[in-house]
Amino acid sequence: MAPAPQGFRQSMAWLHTWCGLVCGWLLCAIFLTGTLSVFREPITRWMEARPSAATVPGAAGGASDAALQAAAGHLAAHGAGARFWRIELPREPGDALRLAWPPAAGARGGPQTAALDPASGALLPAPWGRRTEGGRHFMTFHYTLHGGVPGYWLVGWLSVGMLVALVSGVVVHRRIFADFFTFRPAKGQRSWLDAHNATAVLALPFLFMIVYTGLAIFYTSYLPWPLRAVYGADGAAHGRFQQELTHQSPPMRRARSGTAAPLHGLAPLLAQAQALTGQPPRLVVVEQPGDAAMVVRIHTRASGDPRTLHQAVGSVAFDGVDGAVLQVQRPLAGATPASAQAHGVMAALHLAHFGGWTIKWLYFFSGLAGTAMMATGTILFGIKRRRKVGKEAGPATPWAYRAAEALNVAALAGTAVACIAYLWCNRLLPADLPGREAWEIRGFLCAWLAAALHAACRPAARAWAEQLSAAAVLCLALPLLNQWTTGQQAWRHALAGDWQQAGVELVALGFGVALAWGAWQVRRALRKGIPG
Amino acid sequence: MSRAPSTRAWLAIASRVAAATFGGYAAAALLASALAVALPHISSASRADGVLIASLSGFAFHAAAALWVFSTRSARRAWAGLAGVALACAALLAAVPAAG
Repeated sequence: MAPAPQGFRQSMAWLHTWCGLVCGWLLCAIFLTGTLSVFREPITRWMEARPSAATVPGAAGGASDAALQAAAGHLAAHGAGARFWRIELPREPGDALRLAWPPAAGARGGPQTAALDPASGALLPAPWGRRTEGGRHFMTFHYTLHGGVPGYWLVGWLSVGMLVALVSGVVVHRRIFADFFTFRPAKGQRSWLDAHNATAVLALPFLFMIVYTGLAIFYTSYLPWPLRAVYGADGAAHGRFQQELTHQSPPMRRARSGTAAPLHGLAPLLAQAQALTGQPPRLVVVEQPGDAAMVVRIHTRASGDPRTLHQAVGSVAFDGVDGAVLQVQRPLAGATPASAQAHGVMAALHLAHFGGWTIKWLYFFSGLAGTAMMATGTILFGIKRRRKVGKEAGPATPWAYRAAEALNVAALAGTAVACIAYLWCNRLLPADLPGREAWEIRGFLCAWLAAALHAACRPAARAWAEQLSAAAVLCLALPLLNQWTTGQQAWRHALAGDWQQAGVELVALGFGVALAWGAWQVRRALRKGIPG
Repeated sequence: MSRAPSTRAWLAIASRVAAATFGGYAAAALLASALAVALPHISSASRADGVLIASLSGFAFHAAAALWVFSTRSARRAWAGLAGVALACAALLAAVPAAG
């Protein structure tokens, strides 16, 4: 690491190299998992591999009266004394009515769940599909690295590091527009630089947007100081701020009264919530269930208007005994002032909650371009250093270069291996294994660790070839694994019109082909003895 | 590039990295806080709008501070500049009451 040189452009070049390298390894993993998170719902559907339940057309919330009554009955019988009950309504045709409630006070264990047929209300066999974190795992890893609060802050620091690397990169590449049209393939170092420039310029607006909105989503956590300066540091300060910003009162809460009372019928409340908000119901939460003070809160789903960027969702709170409307949070855009929508728009921009599947695919490919930009950047660092033996880190220089190359492999190929290994764990772990969702995530982390150890032990080029090949084989064999473990096939999903589940396997096959091509290139270069 | 760096140079780099990460964050947080307090006084923004605008700008302030730390002549200048911004903002925060 040479001392920061004099001169603005040189100092920016130095900063771009080192900030990009140090932040780039973890950012690669964050970017790849973030790119996969775009399709977290299809991934979750594929991983849960639930059989198809009956469909109830026409009913508000997609469940029949009988099914809703059965749900309330099941919760009253099994969830008495729970703090709340949760009824998730069917989202897609074939989804079940899903119930969840926390264990009674004092009891141990995770949330209890059950699945009902949305037409007849019959209890479906448990476990209904595979219990899994599904695509949410990629999202959680994307913004916390599964490291809790320290991981969350680390991702925040890395994001600012990425902003710094982007700005300094733009300063360094003066000929940024001309560079975009320059590509010299199969020329070693020049090709890597051209690929780095092309992917960076192509995705530059997306990259600035995605990293800035990513920070902005959590603005009151990452940067709470302006809020504290104006509203004070007490626990209620955030609530006062939100109320002034949105002009909406916070969700009302009621204390438990202690007298028992029966639950009002849910079907008329669902229809009323749909009429009041203009959006279809998504989720029913019964607070203080079984008590005279119980509240039924019905959350709605954005109706999917493609012309608006930010779609607020509404909710209606009913008295759980007599069904009176207690509070309506309307989703109408005109009802909230413009500045209150700023955060929602930023979140929608980051999470691709607009524009439907077209925008999701655009985000997916932009995310891949961003990952490729970081990958080519960190690889370029190694190739430049391999040519001229420097003494940047004094006597430790060869060791430092070796570590950088191993980390390159672990950050890129290793993350790919871990992501596909996660899907394999989902299919290989028994469906009724207790705590299987946690074992799937352990599988992901173990695969990543194993890839890092492998990269540290093997020569860099061989580690590249072997890990890319491993990831390619796992991707290409995924449909076979699925057929063998669940009997489901991508082409049957496609024929049934379920492109979400079919898409997961088709994209895995696409990744498999790309990874196999990469592995073949590295092996060819190895045989010819071309460095890089 | 191929010179072996001296201990002094290493310390200077470590000092700049610390200035960019922690000093930059502190200066950006104070600047954003001062902006949040000042905005309702100098514009038609409400208290809540001021907090929103200032917080969202804060990330850009931090990135800009980090870039400046590495482009200025010495690590000492970098710390001095950040401390100057931080002190000015702290003085403003102490002097101006938050709008009620």
